[in-house]
Amino acid sequence: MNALRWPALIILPVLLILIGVLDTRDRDEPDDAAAVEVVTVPVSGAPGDDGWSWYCPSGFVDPDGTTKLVLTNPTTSSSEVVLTLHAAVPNIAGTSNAQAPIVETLTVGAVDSIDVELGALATDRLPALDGLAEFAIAVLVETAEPEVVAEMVYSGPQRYSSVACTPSPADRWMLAAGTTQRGARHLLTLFNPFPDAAVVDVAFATDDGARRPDEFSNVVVGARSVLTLDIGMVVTRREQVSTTVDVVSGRVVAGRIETWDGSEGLTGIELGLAARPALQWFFAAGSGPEGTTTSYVIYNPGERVAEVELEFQVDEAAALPVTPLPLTVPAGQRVVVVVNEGEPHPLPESQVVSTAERLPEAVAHWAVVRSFNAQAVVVERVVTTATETTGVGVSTSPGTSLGATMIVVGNDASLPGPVPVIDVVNPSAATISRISVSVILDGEILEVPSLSDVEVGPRRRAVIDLADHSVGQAEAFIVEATTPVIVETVRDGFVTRPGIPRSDTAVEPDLFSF
Amino acid sequence: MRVVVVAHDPGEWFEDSLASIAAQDYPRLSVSVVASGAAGADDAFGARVHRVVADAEIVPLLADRGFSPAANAAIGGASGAFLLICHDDVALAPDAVRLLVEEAVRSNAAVVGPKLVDWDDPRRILQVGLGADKTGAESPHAERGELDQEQHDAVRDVFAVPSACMLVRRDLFEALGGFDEVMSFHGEDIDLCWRAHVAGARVMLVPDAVVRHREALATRRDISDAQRLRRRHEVRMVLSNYGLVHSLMVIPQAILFALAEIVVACGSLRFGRAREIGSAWVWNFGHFAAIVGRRRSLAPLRLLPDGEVRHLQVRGFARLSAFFRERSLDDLDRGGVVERGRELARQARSGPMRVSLLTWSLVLVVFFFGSRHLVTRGIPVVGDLAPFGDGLGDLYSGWFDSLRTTGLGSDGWAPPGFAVLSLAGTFAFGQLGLLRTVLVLGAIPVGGLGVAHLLRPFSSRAVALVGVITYLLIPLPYNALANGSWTALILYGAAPWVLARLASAEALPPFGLAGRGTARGHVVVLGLVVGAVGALAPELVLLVGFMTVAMALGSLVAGTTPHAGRLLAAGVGGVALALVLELPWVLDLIGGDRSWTPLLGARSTAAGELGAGELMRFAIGPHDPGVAGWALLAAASLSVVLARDWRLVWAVRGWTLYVGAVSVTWVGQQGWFTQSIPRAEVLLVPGAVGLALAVGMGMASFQFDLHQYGFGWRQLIPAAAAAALVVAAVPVLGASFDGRWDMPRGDFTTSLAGVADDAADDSFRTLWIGDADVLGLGAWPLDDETAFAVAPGAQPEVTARWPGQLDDATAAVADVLDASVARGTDRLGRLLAPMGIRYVVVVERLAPAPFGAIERPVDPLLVERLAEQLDLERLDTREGLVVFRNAEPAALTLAVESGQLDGTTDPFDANTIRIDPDALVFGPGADGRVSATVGSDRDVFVSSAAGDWQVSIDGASVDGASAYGWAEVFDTSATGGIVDVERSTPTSHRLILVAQILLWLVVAAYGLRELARPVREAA
Repeated sequence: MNALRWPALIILPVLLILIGVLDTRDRDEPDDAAAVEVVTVPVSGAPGDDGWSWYCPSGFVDPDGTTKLVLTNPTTSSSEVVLTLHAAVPNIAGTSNAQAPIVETLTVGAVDSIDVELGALATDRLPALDGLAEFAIAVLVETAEPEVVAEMVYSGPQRYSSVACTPSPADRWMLAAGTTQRGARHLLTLFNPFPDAAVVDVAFATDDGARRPDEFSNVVVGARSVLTLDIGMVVTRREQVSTTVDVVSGRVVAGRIETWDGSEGLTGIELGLAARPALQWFFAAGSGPEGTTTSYVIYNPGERVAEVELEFQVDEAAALPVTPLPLTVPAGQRVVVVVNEGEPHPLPESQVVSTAERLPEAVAHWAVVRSFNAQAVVVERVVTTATETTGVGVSTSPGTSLGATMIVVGNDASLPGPVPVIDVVNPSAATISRISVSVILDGEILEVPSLSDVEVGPRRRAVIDLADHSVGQAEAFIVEATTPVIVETVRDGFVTRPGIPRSDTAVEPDLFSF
Repeated sequence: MRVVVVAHDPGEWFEDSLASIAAQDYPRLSVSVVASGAAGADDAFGARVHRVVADAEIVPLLADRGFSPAANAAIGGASGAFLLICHDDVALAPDAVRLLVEEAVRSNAAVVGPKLVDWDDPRRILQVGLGADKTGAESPHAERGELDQEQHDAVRDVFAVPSACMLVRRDLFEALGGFDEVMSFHGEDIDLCWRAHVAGARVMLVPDAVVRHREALATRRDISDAQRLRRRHEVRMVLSNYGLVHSLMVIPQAILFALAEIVVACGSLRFGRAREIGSAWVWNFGHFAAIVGRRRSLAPLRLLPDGEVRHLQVRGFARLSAFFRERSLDDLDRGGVVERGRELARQARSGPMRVSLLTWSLVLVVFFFGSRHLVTRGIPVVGDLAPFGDGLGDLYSGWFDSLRTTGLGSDGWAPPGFAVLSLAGTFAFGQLGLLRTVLVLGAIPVGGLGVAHLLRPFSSRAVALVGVITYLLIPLPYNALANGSWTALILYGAAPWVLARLASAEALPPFGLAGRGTARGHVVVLGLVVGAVGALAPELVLLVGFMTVAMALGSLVAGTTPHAGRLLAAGVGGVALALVLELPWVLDLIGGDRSWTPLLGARSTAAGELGAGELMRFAIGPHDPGVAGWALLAAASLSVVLARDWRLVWAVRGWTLYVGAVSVTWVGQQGWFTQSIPRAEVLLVPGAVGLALAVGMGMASFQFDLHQYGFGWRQLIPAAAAAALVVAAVPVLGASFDGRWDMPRGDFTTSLAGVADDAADDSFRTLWIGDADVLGLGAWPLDDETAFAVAPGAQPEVTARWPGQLDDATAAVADVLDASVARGTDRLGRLLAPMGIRYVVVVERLAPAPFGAIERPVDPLLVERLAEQLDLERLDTREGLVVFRNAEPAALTLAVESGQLDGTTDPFDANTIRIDPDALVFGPGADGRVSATVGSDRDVFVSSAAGDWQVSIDGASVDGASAYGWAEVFDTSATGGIVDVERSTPTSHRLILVAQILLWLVVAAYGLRELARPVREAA
């Protein structure tokens, strides 16, 4: 058998060499720690979703008021809603005693908004709560119609606070703001609606640096329960406390209940929802009006420095632009930027930056905080204002990191005082957004002719005073826009309520659009 | 009295022999001499007889069919009470016949035999009766050549007497049909005596009757087939002489013992011996009809129970005893223990044999040393090395039932792997753990033996040895072990055998010279191999196709013309036959979504992590030989440089296999295939065989070609190649030290058992999610990178290894998973509950951390979304394993609120029409039945997409209705009571399986007969 040697000596080595040469692909190890995009900002479901869940961790009932759950259904289909209510009674140890969950099924009619008095529901169904001075409430809301929006509103004769619910739990939560100063009470609420117990570690950033108290390490949050932790019993007398909740196992939703008894000037209640870090936070309502004190608490929960900018965009087109305020936020620390400084206001002794030299007083503006080195941060705005009857009220707002073209904004028409103002920000650098506002009223969606085609220029804000459009009695507002916008309502000049985007229309605005 | 002398071209001693008969003091002897062989047609032979015994009858036989037919021919029509049957090379003492007859009458014995002594030295005993063990193996009562000191001179019952001289009662002989004529030589005497025992007759030794025996058969007939015939006849006796009960008891033992002998024979490089043993069974299965005939003819004569017969047999295995006594029948054949020992010693001292023995010893020592912890502590459950289940019964019922338990249940045919494992488990006496160890670890030495078999036609022990060593030094099997790829190990073991069969079929030199069998035979044998091995690893079908093409291409690269027709006929025909043999299951594969998943798996189509260099060195796991990995390639290059003629062709073919396998694997690693392909360990198997072949050809070229070159640089190459082999051996030797070839020390079994206290329960399902490489179960693709599987219980089992096609019901599992990821639901548990899914297990590593080298994280979003489900409880496990327990009631059978599931038509209906949280969960029945007492307000929900469920309440059958569009609900609400849930397999299903078994037997018999076909003479 005569065989040829040279074809083999050529072809086979060439093939192997070819493979070797072509094998130039980058073989870096896959990033197995790739971040998961967790939808923790309050967004509603989209048409086509099989229902939606809302986690509302921060309800509170005390002698001064109670919490109600506001369910707004902007669709033309009624929706079955299943509420699973969990109550916890704070105890003297700084934690709380969980109660058995209550399940309530109800229906939200088409184009309707209903309130559920959670305190009453809880005491009706759980006799153990009857007669108690106070208890915390967390609610799991499961809606058949995904676009139903859930919010919690605390209201009493002299107190008011609203907080959105979140559609998702997470393994890490942050609260940028919070205070344990004298006269204040700071309850961290940890809501675990899942069938397995969760274990969390709670850490704080104060003027003294990062703190990880043993008392708040490996805290067990029982399955299907809510737990409150009185932060002030461990982190005592701090003007500003930023909080991180790390979930060791399981999943929780974290919130905050802050009350002020007026002994140190501040009074009222504030319900808060913990957030996840983001690179960009918008505050459509901007800072409080003249006579209020506003601060932005920028918390960097990461392990490296965050290079951020706080930028104010003034409404007046002819005004000179305000130079952005560059800030360096150390790892695990927070920086407080004060606008319109006044007293009283929960300001720490250090890490405070004033904008007095940059931002003229009484200039209408909106604000954005951006991180430029990919280190995500959490930002909250704190506004305090003196009222004639109740002292200095406090409002804390988390801002939002998402824009959307369809946003629902709740309204509490039963509240006394002026009707709210809707602030709509167009975060785009180049595209004009055209917005339309309609209202939900008496089972109908009513278009507001005067607000049917409002132009909002790039990086501009539209301030819509609803008093000018005779829609103050609306149960909720629907803002639709041609490009993603950010919406926030302001009542009394400082009590803000963010709009709830619909998930399929929500996007994260381009970081470098400015 | 009739004396029958069977003569076969007798020598000069024949007259002495006849004279001894004529000189008997027993009166009235008539003598018949059967003349077979050349003597049959020779008139001079008659004269020669009549010169000694004048009145002797001459019975000429024209055809020489052996001793038994000749003896039977002479006896036909004989008169007298006794027959004395003699060889033509025995000389009887004058009183021998009388003594034999006297004892036969006195003891009422039917068969009696004398003491056989040496012809030339009557003081030396040859035989004093014969013993035999349960397998028919002969066990002599006296040492051959033993000095006769009257130590065996007691008259006694024996199991048999030699046919050299035996006295038989004529009526019994006729009733038994004489000697079995198929047993031409060797074993016919034991068989006759055995049947005489069965008929209730006595067989006795009369030592006072002395007969000299010349044992001169070898001078007249080639006796090289003695062992083959002896083995064959032993099997024939075992298969036909026992009754039914003892057949069932003894035949499996005989088969097992034969297998053990084959292994030992192969291990000692006595492949001829192994072939003799194997072919004996093959031959008999090929003549099964005759066996049945023999059984039938013996049945009416049965008087003595087999138990009594077995009391007469030697206990245990005669060969095993002989082995331990350092003696065997072969020793006897070849001149005694001492002589055989000396011969072995001589061979062992000779160069090739010594090297061979030393090398094999070293290989075995290293292999067992490297596997010691796997053998003693068990093989961990990682990758697709799933356990074989709780018992043989499960495997058999899985084989014969029409219920497929993977997915959400379906009607269908069991994958043929069930059959293979069931039968293998039977031969392992139900020791499934041991069987698993053998099948996993055994693949490595079997692969080595396969390479030896492949290279045998190259007529050089050194070539085979070098090829085997190379094959065993390639890191592929050790990485396959460490990566938990049983499929790769199976293919590693099978590939050399398949390649050898393809090469034989193609009949290119040297296979053309030493090849054997017909083209049809090659197809049948290859079909059997692909069918049997492919039952466990269906990827073998691809392998055969790949090797066929690569061999043809290799020939072209070498500038020669392959016998493409033969090659393709064997490859395609073999695969086609394998598919026919697995027909019912194959038909199921055509249904469903008709994807390639059952054959190619559900692996990710994304780019892999392995680079070209790693693939070329087979460094595809923790065993990375580093620079030493290139040494084998260097050694293989010798062949292409030095080899000539057919050695060059085979070297190039080996290289083509190697380069082809590396190329295909590399393309897969680039993510260029749109279809899932098998993992690298599997794809590289042909490359490993090719490399071993190329290195072997290097050795062949060193032996046959190097001397044809002038002195120069080529003379340095062999030394370099030898050095390269030594270098390549270092990593393997190093890897052997951990005793487990880097297999993980922990597995999921422990982790799962730790979190799921009902893990051993099979009354629910588990949804497995992860990369197909670490999942351990046959899976379907969930997306481009992730696969999912659904199987009963919470522990992976081998029965879920072959998933079949994805049906609509099981596809709904993927749908609800997708929905949960897309935030379509936060109550996944509610959707999974009707599917009986109690656990969701996400596997992200080959083994829980810190064990296992392979990490395959699934999409974090998927895990996150699972963690966010309100009715899935996350259980604490070790890293790499995420386990969720469904908080909703999930079981295969539930008693739910009456009417609750009416009107459900879609799996997603469970979102709104959920399983009643207070549903009664039916547990597993102790007797295999599912039964529970159900109240009057309850319906029974059966979570299975398979049909044929029967639910009865207090014995009354209940009609079922569809639930969720795929399951069934039975209205038992009328009365309540004891509900039994059963499922029956249609009789037609089992009949078809029986037909499949028969088809296998027929084809196997044919194929084994082909295997037993003698080697064709070299051209």
